[in-house]
Amino acid sequence: MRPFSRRDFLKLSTLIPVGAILSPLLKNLVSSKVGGQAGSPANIIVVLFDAMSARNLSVYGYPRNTAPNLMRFADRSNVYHSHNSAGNFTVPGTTSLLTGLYPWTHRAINEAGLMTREFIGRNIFRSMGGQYKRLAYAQNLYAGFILSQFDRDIDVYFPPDSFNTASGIVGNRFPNDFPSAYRSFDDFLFKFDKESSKPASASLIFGTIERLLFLRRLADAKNTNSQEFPLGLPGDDNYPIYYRLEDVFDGLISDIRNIKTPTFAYFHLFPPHEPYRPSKEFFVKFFDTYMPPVKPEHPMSHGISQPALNSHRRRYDEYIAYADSQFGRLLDAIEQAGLFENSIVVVTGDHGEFFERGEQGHATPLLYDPVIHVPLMISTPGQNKRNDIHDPTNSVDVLPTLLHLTNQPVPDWREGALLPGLGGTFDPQRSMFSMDAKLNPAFAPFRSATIAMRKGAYKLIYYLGYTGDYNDTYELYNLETDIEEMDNLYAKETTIASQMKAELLEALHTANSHFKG
Amino acid sequence: MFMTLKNRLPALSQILSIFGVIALLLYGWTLLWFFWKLPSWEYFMNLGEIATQVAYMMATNLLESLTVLFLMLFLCAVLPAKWFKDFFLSSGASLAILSLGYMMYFSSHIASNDDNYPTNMVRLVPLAGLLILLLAYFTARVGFMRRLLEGLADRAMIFSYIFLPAGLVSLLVVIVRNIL
Repeated sequence: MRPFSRRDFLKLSTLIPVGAILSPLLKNLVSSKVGGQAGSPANIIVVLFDAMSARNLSVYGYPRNTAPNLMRFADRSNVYHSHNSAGNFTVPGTTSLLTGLYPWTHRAINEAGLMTREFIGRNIFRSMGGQYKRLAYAQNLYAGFILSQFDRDIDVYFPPDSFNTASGIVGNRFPNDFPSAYRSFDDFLFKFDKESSKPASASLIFGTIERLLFLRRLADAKNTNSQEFPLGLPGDDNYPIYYRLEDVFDGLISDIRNIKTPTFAYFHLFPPHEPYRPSKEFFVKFFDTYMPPVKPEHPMSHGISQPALNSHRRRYDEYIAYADSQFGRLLDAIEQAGLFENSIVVVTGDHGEFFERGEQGHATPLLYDPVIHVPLMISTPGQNKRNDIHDPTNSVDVLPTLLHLTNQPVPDWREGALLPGLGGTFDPQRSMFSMDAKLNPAFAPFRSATIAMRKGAYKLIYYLGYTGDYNDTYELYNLETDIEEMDNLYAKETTIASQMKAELLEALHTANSHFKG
Repeated sequence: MFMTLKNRLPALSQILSIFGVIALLLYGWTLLWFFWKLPSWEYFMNLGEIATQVAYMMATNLLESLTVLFLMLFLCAVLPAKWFKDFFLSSGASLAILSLGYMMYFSSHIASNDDNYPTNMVRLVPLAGLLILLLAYFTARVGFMRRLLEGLADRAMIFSYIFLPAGLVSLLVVIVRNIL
């Protein structure tokens, strides 16, 4: 054997820098928690249904069989039974999910609002890093406004009118400046603002012409699809977007089939958001004897009658069933593409919807369970068993958990924790928040808001700054024994009430302390 | 050919006056909506973002105003001078006010919650257009109306000097934002 010479030593030493370069890759190969193929990180596919309340899903015990395909997905997922969104409408709910921050921090709190500029870099797309190909699609333009703030961190962006039947979105035609162009054209110049007493286009010539051309396209689409959709084509009340869910899911399935590992894909679907327009197959599916519990009318509600609420609920359930049927096709496509083996698949909602106490919808100051209780199901690579988790969780927990699962650093700035069962453990002392502050300026302390604080079994709701009798009012419920929130314990369990109140006010004070006024 | 075309067009001062009338109506309409929208924007947009919205707004209004003006100049070029060019200040002002006024009415009445195509309103557009042209023709020939319209157009010229440069700067901002 030849002796180990000085020359051999020098040759070997050249491998030191090579080793230094390769070591992170090797580390990834060895310790990746849920890696995909041969050490590459797992894909992440997030499917978000807008305005989907967990309380109306059969997978969470709802009496109507609204979501058999979500049930099928649950059989291979971690199913979170007490998962709340941090916000009660698209803007705060979506932003909290994508940033891991509460609305009082990220400040996307107004309808069509935006995230505070200093925190734009704190988003899940940037956190996933350059190793991922990052796709984003939001059918809801409010979510599109938020995604447009993250445009530097998104590699492929599908605008809100992708896969639509008829639409009149203009901002997409300005790819280099679409955040501003969306806002200018689609939310202002060309928008027929139905909130106005006399909706008209702010751009008198081009806006009106564009509107007429859109209505012509829509009339053709309605004629073609009138048999299939007895209540009209599904669409968005605020923006000119109309679609058949079959087409939308065809588009997503095509994207899914073309996924190259590793990909982070965020699909924000508009259904089952109002207007509830199921296809013929699901229309009148739930003309049944089911009667939801009748609850007393809330002083801040619009006083909608119980029969009207039941009717809205039935349509909503039918629309969920329609969306679920298409989700089933997506599930099949994911399965056929073998993506369940190397992907984390997340199904969730940005906020819920409710039909009780004289109120319907979600953009309400009433933060009862159906408004903020959203589905969360996470399937990890190769998972084939259902794992039910009943501990309370919040949408701010999703970002740190996904980063942890893909073996990436969890940033210090996140306000969420790792989800139980996926790296985290239940902490009974942890408080979680959901809030509605849409009447509050984003650049000022909260003076008008509803804040719900969840701690263990208890939920405290604080109504702040409203005119009338409901100003500065608290409600306390034990959700383990009273999920319907019928028995207000605030005056009965005074010790818990005062402890939680002090903690909530302290948290609010801390959040407000960053703002003058 | 250039001279022939120039002969068929009104004087620059008259064109500027009519542009002022058009700009007053189009920019004014958009500004009304802008001030309706502004309080909500102030809730979540900073000054720079609002300024960008203003730039898009002004640039769009400029292109709209020029479109309407060029349509009028086209009419001037193709119609006999006695019909339109010789009365450009009054006819033009009348045509701008009537047609844009009708556009405002039309725009405010085509919205519906179920987004239906306004078939009946669209059917009436040719008739309304003809009526507007006739009214513009005759109002310019009634002495009192003619003086009123010419006075208005004269005074509206100031808006050309405000909105034209503002629109051009805004258009430049929009172009730069979309190139960079």
